[in-house]
Amino acid sequence: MDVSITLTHYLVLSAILFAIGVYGVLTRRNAIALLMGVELMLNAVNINLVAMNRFLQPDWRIVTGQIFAGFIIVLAAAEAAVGFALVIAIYRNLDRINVDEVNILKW
Amino acid sequence: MGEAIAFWILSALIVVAALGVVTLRNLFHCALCLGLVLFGVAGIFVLNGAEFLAGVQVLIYVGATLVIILFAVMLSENITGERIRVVSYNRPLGLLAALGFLGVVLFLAVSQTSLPPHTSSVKDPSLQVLTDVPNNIAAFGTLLLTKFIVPFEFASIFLLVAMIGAIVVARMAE
Amino acid sequence: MTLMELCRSVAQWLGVPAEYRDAATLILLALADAFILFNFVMLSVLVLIYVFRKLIGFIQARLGPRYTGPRGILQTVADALKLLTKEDIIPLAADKVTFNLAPLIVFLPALLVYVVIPFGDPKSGLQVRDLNIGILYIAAITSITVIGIVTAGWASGNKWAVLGAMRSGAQLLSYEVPMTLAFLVPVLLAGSLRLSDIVNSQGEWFWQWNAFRLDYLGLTFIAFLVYFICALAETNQTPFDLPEAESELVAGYHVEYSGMKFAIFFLAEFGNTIAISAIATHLFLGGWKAPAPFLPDTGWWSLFWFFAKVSTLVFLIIWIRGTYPRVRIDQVMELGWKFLLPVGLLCVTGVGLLVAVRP
Repeated sequence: MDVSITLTHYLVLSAILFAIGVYGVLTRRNAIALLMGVELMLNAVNINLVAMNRFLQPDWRIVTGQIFAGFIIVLAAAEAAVGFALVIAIYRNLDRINVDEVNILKW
Repeated sequence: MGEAIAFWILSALIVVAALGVVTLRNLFHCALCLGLVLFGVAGIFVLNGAEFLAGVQVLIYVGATLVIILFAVMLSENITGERIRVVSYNRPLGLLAALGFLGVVLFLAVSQTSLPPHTSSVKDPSLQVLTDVPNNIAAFGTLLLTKFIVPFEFASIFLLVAMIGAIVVARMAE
Repeated sequence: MTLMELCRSVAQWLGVPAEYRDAATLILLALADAFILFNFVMLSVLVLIYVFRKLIGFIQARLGPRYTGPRGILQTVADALKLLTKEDIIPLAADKVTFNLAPLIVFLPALLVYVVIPFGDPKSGLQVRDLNIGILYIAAITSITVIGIVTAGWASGNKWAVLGAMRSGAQLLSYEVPMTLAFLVPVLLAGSLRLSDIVNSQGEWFWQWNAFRLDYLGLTFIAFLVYFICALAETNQTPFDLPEAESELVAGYHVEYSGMKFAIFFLAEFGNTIAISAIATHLFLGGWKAPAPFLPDTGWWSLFWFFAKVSTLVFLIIWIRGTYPRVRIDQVMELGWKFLLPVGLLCVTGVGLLVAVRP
């Protein structure tokens, strides 16, 4: 195989993954499926950051991109915890988790 | 050449599994496909020399976040066993938005042939501590606790707040 | 002839063109390593099940298996044949794809964790891959088991299975946190996540192993106990085997599994038992090192010492299984969060402070 993997390959992969996440968020109305689309987008960004750290930073010891990706993983975990706790609480009170139908503050 | 084979296999896995996440009708199957995507991303991290981050990705994303998702799926369906069916609405509009975004980004990614390399080097005063780290983990840890100590502490407080918030929100009503 | 040379000669014999020969050698080496590990896990589980049943019998003042083969040695083979020939029942309400997939997701971590465990001195080639992130890899891989158990419970389409799976998942998740904290203590002492570095950082005499070090005020021994208890909970061993006891929730998450799939769950459990004993010996008991410097511990002797220590820990686990009653699920949660987590934090903080202030 004469074409070696360059930064463009990783950027294209990350863009495709992000686009799939966008499609998931826009078309799904179930709250859990929507949050899964958000997770896809966050992972796409992580691939981007780590690939750029590898190709644009010649010194392997400076891992700023990886640290940024690490913080994104941590924040995504926290956001998932709170988001799914909200989903469980909404389900317990309203018996449904379709985000189109949960649209009034008081009933 | 090994990297090329690994890259294509992992990319195929990630893209197919991601399509499974957004199109499958059984919510649990979507969650398991998300697990495959997360594994593929961990593999991409290993390919790019971020081995510590790959371990962290599996430990946190697959070992904790995916389990939260599975628990949420199990707790939000009737215990009598009817499976949740997720249906996609607005499919043409979603497809248009996603493909439009993809077109723009691909055009930018392919046309931009050279991005300027980073200029920071180990001779900078804030990066001096990195002069003799043996491997990627040591570099990650050193940088995290010297240059990025403030975001690190903030992330700890943030996790504590998120944990307390999730417990309060998901608690049974008194 | 080492394994690498054997694979290279096989690649040559297969007629692989010269520029792909290195890649072919690596692929063959990986396949050979996987074959060896798989066989090791299967054979050791075979032996372990027999030893387990005999020992439990002796603890309970009875004789255990006696009739299949001399002294009942072939009992496990008979059990395996029985399970293989049983009818494979899939309930109507079960989700076929995930029902069949769940035992594999539970078995995979039990096999994958052996990749980083050295069976002896790595310089003698007794470790598959000495990864930089050894301990982190182990923690990450063992957290995949939770997904398999939750999937197994959900896919059975059975209320009791779902409840049992959620209980088991909660137990496994709760005990991962103190286990990771207990992992951190040897990592702090060795300054590296690599298993070979951690073993090499322990001394030659047995009182210099991590568990018995007195210059850290016994905190490492407490960390060893915390790790051991958490590992028992992680592998669903007594006294934490609530999720799979037959008298609780009708055997919990694997109530609907019969035949070979049930066998895979038990293979995974016993494989995990040996794996956690192996990890505990490397982290706290000096790995493949002999108890005294004048005893030989290079090459094949390191294999002997490693197996001696692992067997001791496995014997301890079986002894505990025969002695203690089961713990209730709320007691399990309380123990994990209210006792083991603060103790683990205390160990890590104390050892960290001592490492920092010592020259």
